[in-house]
Amino acid sequence: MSENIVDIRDLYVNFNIYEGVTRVLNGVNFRVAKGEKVGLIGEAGCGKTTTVKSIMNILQIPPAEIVGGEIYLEGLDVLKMGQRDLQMMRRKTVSMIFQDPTSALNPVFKVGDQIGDIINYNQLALGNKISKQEIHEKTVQVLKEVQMPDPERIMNSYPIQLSGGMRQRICIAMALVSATNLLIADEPGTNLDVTIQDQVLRLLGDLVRDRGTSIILISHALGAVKGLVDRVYVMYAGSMVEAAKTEDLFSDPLHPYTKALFEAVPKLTGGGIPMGISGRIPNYLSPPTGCRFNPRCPHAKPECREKSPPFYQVGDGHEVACYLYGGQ
Amino acid sequence: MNTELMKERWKRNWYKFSANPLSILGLAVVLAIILIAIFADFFAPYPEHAFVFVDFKNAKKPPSWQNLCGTDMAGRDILSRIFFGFRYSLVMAVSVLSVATPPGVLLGLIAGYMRDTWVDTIVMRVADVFLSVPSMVLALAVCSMLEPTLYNAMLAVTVMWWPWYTRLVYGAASSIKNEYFVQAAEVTGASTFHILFGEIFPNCLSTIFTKMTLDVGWVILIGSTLSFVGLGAQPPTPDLGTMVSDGSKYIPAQWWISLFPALFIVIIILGFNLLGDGVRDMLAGD
Amino acid sequence: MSKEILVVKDLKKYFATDEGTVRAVDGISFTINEGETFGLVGESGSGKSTTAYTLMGIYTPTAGEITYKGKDISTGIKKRPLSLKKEMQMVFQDPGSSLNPKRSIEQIIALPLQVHGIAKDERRKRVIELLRMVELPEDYLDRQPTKIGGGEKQMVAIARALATNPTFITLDEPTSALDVSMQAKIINKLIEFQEELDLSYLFITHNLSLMRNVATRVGIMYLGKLCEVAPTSVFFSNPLHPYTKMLLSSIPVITSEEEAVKPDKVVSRGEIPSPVNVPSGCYFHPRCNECTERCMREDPPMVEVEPGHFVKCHTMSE
Repeated sequence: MSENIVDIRDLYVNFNIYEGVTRVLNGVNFRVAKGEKVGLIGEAGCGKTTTVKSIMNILQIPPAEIVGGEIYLEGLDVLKMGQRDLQMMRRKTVSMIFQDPTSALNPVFKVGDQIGDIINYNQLALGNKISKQEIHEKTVQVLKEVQMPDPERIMNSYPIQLSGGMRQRICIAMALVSATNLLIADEPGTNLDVTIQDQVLRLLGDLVRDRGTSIILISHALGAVKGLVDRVYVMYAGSMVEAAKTEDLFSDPLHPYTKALFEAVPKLTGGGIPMGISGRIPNYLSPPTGCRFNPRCPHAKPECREKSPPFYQVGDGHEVACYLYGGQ
Repeated sequence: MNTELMKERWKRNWYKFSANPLSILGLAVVLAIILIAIFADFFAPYPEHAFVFVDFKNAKKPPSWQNLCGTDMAGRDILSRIFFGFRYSLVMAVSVLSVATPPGVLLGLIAGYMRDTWVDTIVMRVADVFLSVPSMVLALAVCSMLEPTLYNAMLAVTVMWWPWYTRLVYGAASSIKNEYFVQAAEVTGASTFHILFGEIFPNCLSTIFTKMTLDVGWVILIGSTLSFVGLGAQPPTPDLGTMVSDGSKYIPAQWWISLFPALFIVIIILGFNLLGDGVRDMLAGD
Repeated sequence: MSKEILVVKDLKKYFATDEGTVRAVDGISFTINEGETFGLVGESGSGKSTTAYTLMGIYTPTAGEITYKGKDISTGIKKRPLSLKKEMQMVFQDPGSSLNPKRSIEQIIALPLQVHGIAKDERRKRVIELLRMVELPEDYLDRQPTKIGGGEKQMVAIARALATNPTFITLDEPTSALDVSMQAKIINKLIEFQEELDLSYLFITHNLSLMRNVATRVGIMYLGKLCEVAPTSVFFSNPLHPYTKMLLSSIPVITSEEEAVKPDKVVSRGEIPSPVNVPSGCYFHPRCNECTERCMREDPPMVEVEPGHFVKCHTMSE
């Protein structure tokens, strides 16, 4: 267990809204080993962002409410941490790159100042004083690491003067500046063009390889994670349904949802438009009992409606939460 | 829209409104004021004191159980006069806002939709002219040109109030017109009239309504100020501002004659402001 | 032999801004035939959305000619005849903002019918019929758009576009904001309608895998110019323009079969320049691996390399 940098066990999270209680996370089990690169794929609304936000304990509580489970970061219980420890953790251990670089950057401050602030703040928290000159140097250095042309000019620019791809790289730079052991990238490059997204993902890949950082890469675009991560989790309606090494998952998907998802994506090789997955994403106010995919699953059996299946081991590191592969 | 959906809608609106207990307080205060204003004859302990009444034996008596707010220099019960005074405050607010808002909104819609054309320029520059004159000065100027009456005070305030709505709606309309649903209506061939009133205007309603609720307090304040300087309602009308002004001669000895009307002005404005905050919370994100 | 329904000749749309003139669409020509789906692909700043908006009249062309069924329609929407607006409809990118949140679904779908003079009870009947066509329940009539899901909103938008029995529909990224299962459903419906109702589509998306399965012919735009136009299978199996190759090689795909059909990896360099400051000569030259001296000076002509396959690149004329 201590080789895992992230260990989420049986996490249940509800949101209390006007219409009632939405049971968003339904027993999430999720692990990232030290130095590992893990992808988290799932469609919009399945709970990916909620899961990673709870790792950093930045969920808005209320309306969110953690009603069960444990979250361990580097062996420490995140849910029991005091404010100071949490801040230290967010500063030193984990960084997050958000989905929309435009809204992640403060429009009224220069980009260099925003990076510099983080550097300064981190040093102050450690009890060190750092000179403006040093901050400037560190900023230039990190901008070079994210392959920004002309770092000096970029530092003096405001976010609005930069393109989407550059803004995303600034966000990555800001995440790197805190010496982190874990990087969480929430749909990086999704809002950007394919060619720029490609560049951004390559950059992330290079950086984590050079630094040995663990990374959680979230995406709803299946192909995007493929080139970058060692292991992939597939998430549906609040729980993990399958986890495997990347090549294993893409060549041999096992869970009915994973299979349906892969089939529903139009292929570059042609073949027309797939039929899609029948039914709809569950209503979190009154989700299906048992396995949440059961109303849409072509293989549903009575036990699927009774109790959510646990992860069954199938082969080397390949786990599936489906009764087709074990138990009862 | 059927009644089921309407009930749902109002339940949800109430949920959002009542999230802040102060909004409920504001609502309560406003409802109380309206009720008292309408049924002042019933609520006022001495309704006959409202206008012309003299009882010098009981003049300038401090607050007591018979006269909760004391009596003024003519012996009239101040609390009763205040209750009747609510009528003038509310009438002023309702009249000014119902006359100033429609043209203001209309001009804002047109200018916003025709942004960056000559229509925009003319409308907004005219509005700017009105907005650049300090409101009190403008109101005073209008009032002093005409006879000092409550009616003319309302006219003065109305004249300088409409541009605020023009500016507000201009901002909203010029951004809404770029929304896809407006372009969809244009592509379909909808007339400009429909686009302004059927598509854009309904999306401005929340902003307009919130501002109107918050404006009530402002209008009452300005109206009271005009009365205070003698340009609004004239004695013996029990207008709150006039009452404050009349009582100012007797400060500090008979402090209650000015204080209580002033206090109730504050209460009215505060009530409407709290209500306005609640309305804003209720309509926000709609 | 398919008839041409829409002919675009040398279309230009420039915008005057504080930074200079933005050449959003800078001289493009293409045709759309009856019953086909013409796909327009490109990254941000390519001008594909501006092209669509100019074709539909939301923008007035700066120069060039648009012909619909033989008639010249190169004007803004206000100047176009009402009968034309009946025939050309549009489905927008973001279902959330393409439906007025303050109106009911019935009012939204009925608007085109109202504009074109259909009587009230006829309207209601037609709206119910349209809801049935897009497989939405009749009790949606009184609902507000905010209460229904993204995919359903887009279905309403499609119902609205079909209301007046159009012949031509522009679809601007109709499924980009939706998840994969909704996407499949909607695209299938669109294809169904096209066959049943004899529609011609201008289909815009940045999702090339989707384009592969939807379009009859594909055009790719870069910085306001069309780089390559070809029938779909040719476009994907034999891309000739360096930008097309760069784009196709960057698509993230899942299966190894798909990986195999992608062109050799062209590492994408640099970013799209600002449309205010377009490069000289061929607009793509700063990012192009095959750039020659001529490319920096001269804008290449559009050459028909094989029947129906047009490429705008100097390497084609050598």
